Amino acid sequence: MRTDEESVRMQLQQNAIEPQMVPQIDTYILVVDDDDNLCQAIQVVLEEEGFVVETALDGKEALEQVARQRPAMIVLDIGLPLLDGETVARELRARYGMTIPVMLMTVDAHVKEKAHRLKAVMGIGKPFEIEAFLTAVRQTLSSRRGKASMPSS
Amino acid sequence: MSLSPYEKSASAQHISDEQELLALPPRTLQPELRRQIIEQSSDCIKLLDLNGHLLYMNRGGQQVMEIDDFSTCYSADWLSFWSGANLKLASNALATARNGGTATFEGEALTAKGTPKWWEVTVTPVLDAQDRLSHLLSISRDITERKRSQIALAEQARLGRLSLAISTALTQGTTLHAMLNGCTQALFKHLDAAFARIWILNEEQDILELQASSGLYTHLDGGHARIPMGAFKIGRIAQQREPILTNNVLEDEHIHEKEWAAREGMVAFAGYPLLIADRLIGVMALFARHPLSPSTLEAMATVANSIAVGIDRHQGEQARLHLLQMEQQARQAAEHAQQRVTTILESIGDAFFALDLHWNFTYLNAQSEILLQRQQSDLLGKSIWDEFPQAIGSLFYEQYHLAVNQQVSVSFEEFFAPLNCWFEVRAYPSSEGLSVYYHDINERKEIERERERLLELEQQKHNEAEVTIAVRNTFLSSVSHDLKTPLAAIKANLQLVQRRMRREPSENSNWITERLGAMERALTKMTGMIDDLLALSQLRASQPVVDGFMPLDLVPLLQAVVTEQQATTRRHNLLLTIDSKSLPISGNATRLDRMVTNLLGNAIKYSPDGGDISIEVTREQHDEQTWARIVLADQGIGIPAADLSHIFTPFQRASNVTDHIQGTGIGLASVAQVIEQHQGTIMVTSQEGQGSQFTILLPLLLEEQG
Repeated sequence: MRTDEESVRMQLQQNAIEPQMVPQIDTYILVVDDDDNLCQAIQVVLEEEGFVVETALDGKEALEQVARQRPAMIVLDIGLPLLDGETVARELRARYGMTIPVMLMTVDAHVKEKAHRLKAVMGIGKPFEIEAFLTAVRQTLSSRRGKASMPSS
Repeated sequence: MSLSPYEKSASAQHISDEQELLALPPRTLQPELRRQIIEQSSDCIKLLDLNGHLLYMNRGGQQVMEIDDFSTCYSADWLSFWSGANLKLASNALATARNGGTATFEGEALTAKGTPKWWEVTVTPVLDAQDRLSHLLSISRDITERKRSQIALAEQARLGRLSLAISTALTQGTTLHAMLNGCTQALFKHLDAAFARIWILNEEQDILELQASSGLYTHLDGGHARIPMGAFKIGRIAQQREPILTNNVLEDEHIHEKEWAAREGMVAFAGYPLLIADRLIGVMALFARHPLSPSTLEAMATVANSIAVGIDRHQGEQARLHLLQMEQQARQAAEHAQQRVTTILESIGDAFFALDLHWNFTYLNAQSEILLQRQQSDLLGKSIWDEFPQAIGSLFYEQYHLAVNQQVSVSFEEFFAPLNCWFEVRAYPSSEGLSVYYHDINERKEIERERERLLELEQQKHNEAEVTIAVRNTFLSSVSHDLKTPLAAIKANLQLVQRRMRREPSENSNWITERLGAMERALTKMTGMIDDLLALSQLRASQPVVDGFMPLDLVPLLQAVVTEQQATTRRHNLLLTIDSKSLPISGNATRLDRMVTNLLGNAIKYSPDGGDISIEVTREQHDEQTWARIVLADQGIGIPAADLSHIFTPFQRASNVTDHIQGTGIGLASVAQVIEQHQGTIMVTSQEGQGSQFTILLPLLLEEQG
């Protein structure tokens, strides 16, 4: 597991692309969760709300996707294969600063503490009400808008 | 002119002047001469009629009787001159003379002027010419001087006996009591006292203590047993160091017990201070029913002095004896101590040996012989290192040398292989060498080894149990995590369908929405159970108590939880009252949230018929600390009294809910744990069927001033 994580991190560093090179789309949301059923449901809900959604089922895939196309925000689960959510969140901050707001999603009871620690904008416990989920997404996006004028990195 | 008793006697019978006398025979002398002789005789010569009435008294007689005018005495009854025992003697003498006999007696009678005099009296019959009894003749000779010297002699003898008795008592009495009792006995007996007493001064208390009493009273515990200085006549004698003497107790100002004295016929009192120089030893006193002569008082003064000296000497001897006894006791005690040391050294369970400065044995007790497996006679005078060479270089060797070289006591435990024995040793150095106390601790060592083995075993089991619990907790934690992930997917998809049904209604929409609602409720219940499982896994996990603690405000936290919980029910009214705008606390928001949620959830769950649920929050100050008091009261089914004590124990649920209300028994245990982590307390009171009331106290942060 650890060697996996390390090798992925190595790869990511080798393939690192300058953040500024990739445009950020305001309606694009990346959803990262290892449960495909949940990812699909979220994707449907968000698309119904007019968002463009991509999903990733592990942390490595998530970082690769962000490298290809920077999302307006990320809905990030904590418990992920290959790279866990916490590592992904730290990597994102290290690479892109605060330009990609993170909404944390976890079955863990201490979701707010974790969100605070990982400097995520929001945190939501699983399972959740769809309405509550959507509210959290909008709050996360609005935080980015507030900081949009700030220079990145 | 000297006359023989015979001549005088004969001449007495020839008395002129009176007709009757002139006729009296014999007629050897001229009547005138006879008359002169008679008249001038210093004897008192009286002629009495047969009834004893005075007819004549010679002139010499009138002088000694101190009669100025005989006519006043003429025909007086002779017996009236006498009194008491003397009257009897006189009366007998008259009777004898009437019967023709001559009677002689000695008696005391007063003169006409009241002077007491002793008389030698002879009464004889006087016969007429026909030898018939006609008169009685009484001749009294003044023998007062002789009598006085006789009495004085007797008194001297008596006082001599008194002195002897006193000195005997003082020298032969073995105890103070015997001495003084002998003295009062002597006073009582030889002075014919009614009773005699001696008090001794108790200098510490300034009180006279009655020590001896003889005669009428012999008790030592009466009213005069303890007389303060200055009190009564005894105390006054002591205080003034002056005797009080009287031969007239009924008149004397010092004697207060007059009624008693009169009743008992007391006449004289003599009380003397017992003095040595100016030092008061005590008081000696006596009452007598007869007057005390000056020589008696003088004798008593001497006796008082002897008694004082005797008491003093006795007390001195007692003190010396006491010192002697003390000395003897001290010597005996020292001997005993010496013996005891030896006995102890022999009898103590500890073995003991002493070494001199050359490491030679100078002493070893019996226990040592056993433990060293050597005889005393084998070892005495020999070096320990010669006799036990295996000990050279051992801990014994090092420690004994350390003790002697550094002059410090040492104690240690060591195994001595040649004797196959564990020893516990204490060794004390002295100027003479080294004293070593030791005993066999094989048994203890065995027990220690066993105990260590058991402890290890227990620790091992404990560790195993810990591991088991940790494994279980990890398992529970990961299972509940894993269970929640698909639940989240189910719920999201379920709600997705519901949204679609709302947006694009069909004819079955209502029915489908209803069924989906039922599924969602089941899902919610399952989520709750998984939350409980998670709480259980965390309950035992030893997470740091202050993990994630930060300053926060209880007011919005409580408001949020109440709002949240109110949303879950329409049958219950959640009534929150808070008396403060803010309640700052250092804590973990998530855990506090879970704690209040849990309690409110319980209140709702266990009030199946609905009703008010009040949450009253007040701020209070005690134990130099500000507290938030949260009182949460419902009107539910309550908790049976028997279950109240263990509802905060994990997996324990009240007996009235186990059958029909679901729960894992984790909730309240977790509540109690959270409150404990926040240094708070929780209390519960409940009445089955009426509701429960939980009171929580949480310490608040000090509010910043200004």
